[in-house]
Amino acid sequence: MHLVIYFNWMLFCITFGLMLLISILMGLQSKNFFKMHMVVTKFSMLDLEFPASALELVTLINDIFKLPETLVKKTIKALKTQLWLDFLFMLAGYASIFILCMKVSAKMVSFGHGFFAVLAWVQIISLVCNVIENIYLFYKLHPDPVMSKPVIEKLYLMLEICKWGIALIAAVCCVAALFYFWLRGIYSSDSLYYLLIVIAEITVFLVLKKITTKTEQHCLEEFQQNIQ
Amino acid sequence: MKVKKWITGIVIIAFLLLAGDVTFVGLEHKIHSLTVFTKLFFVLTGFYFLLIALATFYSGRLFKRLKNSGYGINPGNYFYDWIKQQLIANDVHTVSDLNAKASTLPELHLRTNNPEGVASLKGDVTFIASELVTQNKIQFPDMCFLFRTKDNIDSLQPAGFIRASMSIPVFFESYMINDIPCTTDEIKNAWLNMMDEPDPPTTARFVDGGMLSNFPINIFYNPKVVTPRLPSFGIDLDDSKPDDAEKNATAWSLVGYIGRMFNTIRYYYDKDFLLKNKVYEKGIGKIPLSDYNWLNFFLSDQDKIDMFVLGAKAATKFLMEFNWDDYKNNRTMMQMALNKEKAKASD
Repeated sequence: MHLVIYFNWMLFCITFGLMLLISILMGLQSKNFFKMHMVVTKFSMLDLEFPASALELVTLINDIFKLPETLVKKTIKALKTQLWLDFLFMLAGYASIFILCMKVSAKMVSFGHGFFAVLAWVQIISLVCNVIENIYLFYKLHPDPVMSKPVIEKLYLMLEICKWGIALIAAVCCVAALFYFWLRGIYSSDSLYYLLIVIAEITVFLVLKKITTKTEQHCLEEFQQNIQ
Repeated sequence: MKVKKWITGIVIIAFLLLAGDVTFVGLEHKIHSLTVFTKLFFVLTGFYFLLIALATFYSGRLFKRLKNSGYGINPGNYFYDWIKQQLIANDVHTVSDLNAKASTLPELHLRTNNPEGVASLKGDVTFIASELVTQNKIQFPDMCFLFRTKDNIDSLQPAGFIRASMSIPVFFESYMINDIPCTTDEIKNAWLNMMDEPDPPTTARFVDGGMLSNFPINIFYNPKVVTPRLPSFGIDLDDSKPDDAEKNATAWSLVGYIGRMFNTIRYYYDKDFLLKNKVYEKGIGKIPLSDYNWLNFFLSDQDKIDMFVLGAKAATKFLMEFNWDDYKNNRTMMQMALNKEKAKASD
């Protein structure tokens, strides 16, 4: 059974571009992530993903429901949309890493060949972890959520570490290997077009990000508009 | 020194990895068998920089979280809920309940005649907090009128006063009172008269009152009383260590230096009062607690028992040595002198 699948760079460009586009959409949603912790303050998805304890996660969700009703609806809607978008994001994101690993694996010999192929396939574990995490958060996003048992809390943390760890290690190893190929001149000139596409995608992403990013104070003012 | 060592180590490893990358790439042209090592070094370098990026990101995130939580590690919610339950168990639900409960005293009588009588004696309770927006010392529940109009005083939660007064900076999140009706004349006048503040805030942010006044014996001082009817007792939990007496100004560590600055501010307000009204020192008993850290949140039961014993011993010694007549005479003389000075000044 062959571990390596051969892909065209164009497919990587598409999944990578999609990932960046969805990331912009998710960023727009996150502008409405507010909670009432004595005063209205912002929070991020990472606060939900890496709470210091099960109590902190429950406190954070309770704090969301302490906002005025209209704002609760706004935050919860944004959070749920973010989680739904995350399903698309993870498909594009892990697919990008998967393709990248396969491309590097195809250029490697002996140990490197197998290592990168395995790195590609273990992205499925990251994907599964991400799906479980989203379902868990969907389940928790209700008024008065139940505090998880210490075992569940630990499993949740492990899940997050697996999700982020596997994906980040694979991405960084691939970039490092590609950098090596670049320095050694081991690449076909055709692939340069795809490199330009990726650079263009990143540039557009950064410009869009710059346009859509607002200060926390601005977000808060926008968020609190239309309170009835 | 440790931080410096860590940073040096991180930089050296990064340099070695990058140097390894360059060396192996250069050698690979001549010695092809080194290809595996070159690739390995590149992957290791990437991995190493990932670790640095993660550590930086994590530190940044921790700081952001600290900032978002009002620069406090512990939200203090558990304490707030606990103290609220304790108050409710004692029928204190509102500020009015707290005032009523505190003012309830057993029947008092004077052993010796005093023109002041006992009628004006009433119980009261005060929680001191430092307000950071207007930079003031706030006494709860006395100063509630700064944060709510009189008809709405009971919308404040008494547990919040205690929570505010124990918000040790960095360890606990600040406590906040929101929605202060700062545009109403009542609140504006209250701030102007009490704090000389023409522009009251909409949100007040509190930290531990001990920051400004750790031993607020001055709140017991009543200038209207010439001859005291009863002494004002204060219990000073003295946790100063023998090292704290180090007078060599150049021998302190950075922590010691910061600690001294902090303590100078922390104690000065009360020290100033005691320097001007030395008689009150006669009513202060000290419990030596230098073996216990005031920031130890994990005291063992044995430590608590030992502290209790130290307190009982210190109280016994203090009460045995306390001389009521001496205290009363000194306090009377002090007030008479102050009244004379006041009269002279008004002439």
